[in-house]
Amino acid sequence: MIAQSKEARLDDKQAIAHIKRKDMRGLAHLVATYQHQAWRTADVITRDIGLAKDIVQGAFIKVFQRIDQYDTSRPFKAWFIKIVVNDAIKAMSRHATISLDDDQDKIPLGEILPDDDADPFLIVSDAEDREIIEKALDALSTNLRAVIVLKYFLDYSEDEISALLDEPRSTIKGRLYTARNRLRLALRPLVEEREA
Amino acid sequence: MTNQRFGDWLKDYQAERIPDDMKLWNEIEFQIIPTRRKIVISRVGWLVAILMLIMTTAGVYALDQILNNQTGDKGMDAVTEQGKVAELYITNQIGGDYELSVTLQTIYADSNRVFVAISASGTAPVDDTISLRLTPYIVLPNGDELPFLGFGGGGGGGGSIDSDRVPIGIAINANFDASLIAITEPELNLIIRVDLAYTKDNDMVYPQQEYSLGETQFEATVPFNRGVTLTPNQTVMGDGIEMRLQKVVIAPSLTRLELCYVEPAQPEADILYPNVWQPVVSLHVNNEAILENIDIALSELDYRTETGCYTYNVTESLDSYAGEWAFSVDYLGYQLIPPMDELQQAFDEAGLPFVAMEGGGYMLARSEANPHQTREDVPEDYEELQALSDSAQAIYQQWREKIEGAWTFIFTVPEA
Repeated sequence: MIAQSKEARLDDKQAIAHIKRKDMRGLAHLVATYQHQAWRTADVITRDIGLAKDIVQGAFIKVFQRIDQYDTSRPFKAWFIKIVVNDAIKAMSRHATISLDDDQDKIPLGEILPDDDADPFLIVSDAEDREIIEKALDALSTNLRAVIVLKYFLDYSEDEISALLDEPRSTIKGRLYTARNRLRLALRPLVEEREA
Repeated sequence: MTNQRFGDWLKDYQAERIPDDMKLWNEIEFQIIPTRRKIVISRVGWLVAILMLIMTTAGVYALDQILNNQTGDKGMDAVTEQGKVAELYITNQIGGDYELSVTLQTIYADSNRVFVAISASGTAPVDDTISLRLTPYIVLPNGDELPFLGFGGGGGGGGSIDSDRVPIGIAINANFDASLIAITEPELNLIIRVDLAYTKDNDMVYPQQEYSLGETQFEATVPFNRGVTLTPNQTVMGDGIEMRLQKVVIAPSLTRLELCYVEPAQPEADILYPNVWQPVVSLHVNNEAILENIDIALSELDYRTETGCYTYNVTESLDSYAGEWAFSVDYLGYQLIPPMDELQQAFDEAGLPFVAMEGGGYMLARSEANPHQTREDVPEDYEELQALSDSAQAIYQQWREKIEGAWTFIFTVPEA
């Protein structure tokens, strides 16, 4: 007969206490809990699954090495996502062929489409538009993809994004506006095709 | 599609790109120097071993790092070549659902360490995706358990499918601290206890639950290579730091040194990665250079003892060198974390296929075509890869602060 070992499930606080004692079980819990969200977040920013994987692995290792810097009164997830996002942006500053400079993403005023409730996707339908959206995401700069992933994938508010990226709220708002317009511009040919 | 729908679409799209069954734990675990008793099996290749070697960030140069890598353990290589490793191949049947048997393959003992190679094998139903875990313990006849030093090894499932069952297996090398052994006899009686368990590969819970498969025990009488113990107790002053070589234990597979000194203040350059001052040593015997500028490994067990002494391990076979030893701590080095961009530039200028990482690590460059594989120009040959790794390590050490000694201790080692 096979005896099953009993291992109590941890919560984040218990996991962090384990890590402070260099007990790998704590890190294992955090990896299990946050690996996919972190990996997918880094992947949106880098658009490179392999690079995103390296970034997230590195971020977990940082957690293990730097746990004493973590303020236990604050949510772990926000601290960790901040590491992942910032590392992804830094990694892209070395690897990307697309500039990080937001000026590259500024759209001439004449090209800005009406901001229909700031919704870039009101004009398209569904899964069939996947390839177009992928290309639109690819065309965005790293910084714009960062705000997109924080806003739409992780559901952070503009204030939360501002705190996470250490940027003024007005900057975040501007980037979101620019990102949405870039996406809408990318989708415009599709709309025109459908209207025709 | 509304903003909400875009968010939903993005979440679905990302879940499709990176499904839930893509996991990171094993690779993360391999990148952190393991200091606990745990046997990791399954699909460990040389490449992973090399990655383990090169991806460690600063950290302590620890003995178990060498033992885990299965590389650089020249002491075990030497005693193996000298025929000092006993080949036992005693098999105990465990049976059960997985038809398991455990084999004590080889064992070696000297004054500094006991080494065992153990394997387990059996069969599992084709659909039963499990990984075996094997944990050895070594107990002396008086009941004392030897402290675990580290392990290497690998194995895992696999084998041809010719029925509704497939072979499963694991093989590990484990090292134990032998300093508890106080005998003068040429043979040593040991009890080797082995706990066997398995984890389910598809288990989404971390840490994966381990399911016990029972335990077995071997009793073995093995040759004991006692080695030479010296107490030079010499004190040398260098660069304002007083250093004492308190004890030296020279055994065929490993030499241990107890160095006592007050560790200098740590540089404040990077408080994120606290490190230790690392002795870099040389050894001349009868004026012949035996070791030059090598890092010696701290034992996790003895790091920063209450006596202010540090136990270092030289994983070389030095017991054949009798005569006048001039053991020199050439300098104390403190590894700083290189800025990622500067490290990358240094790799690029040297033409090395490594990618610098934030926090001081580095890894082999990935293929542009397939980011899950190393770049096409990375050699598969182990020796070539090792040479590249050495070159990268030399570059990395450019960011090492030094306190020049040297602290040289001279003493006579008798014939073993």
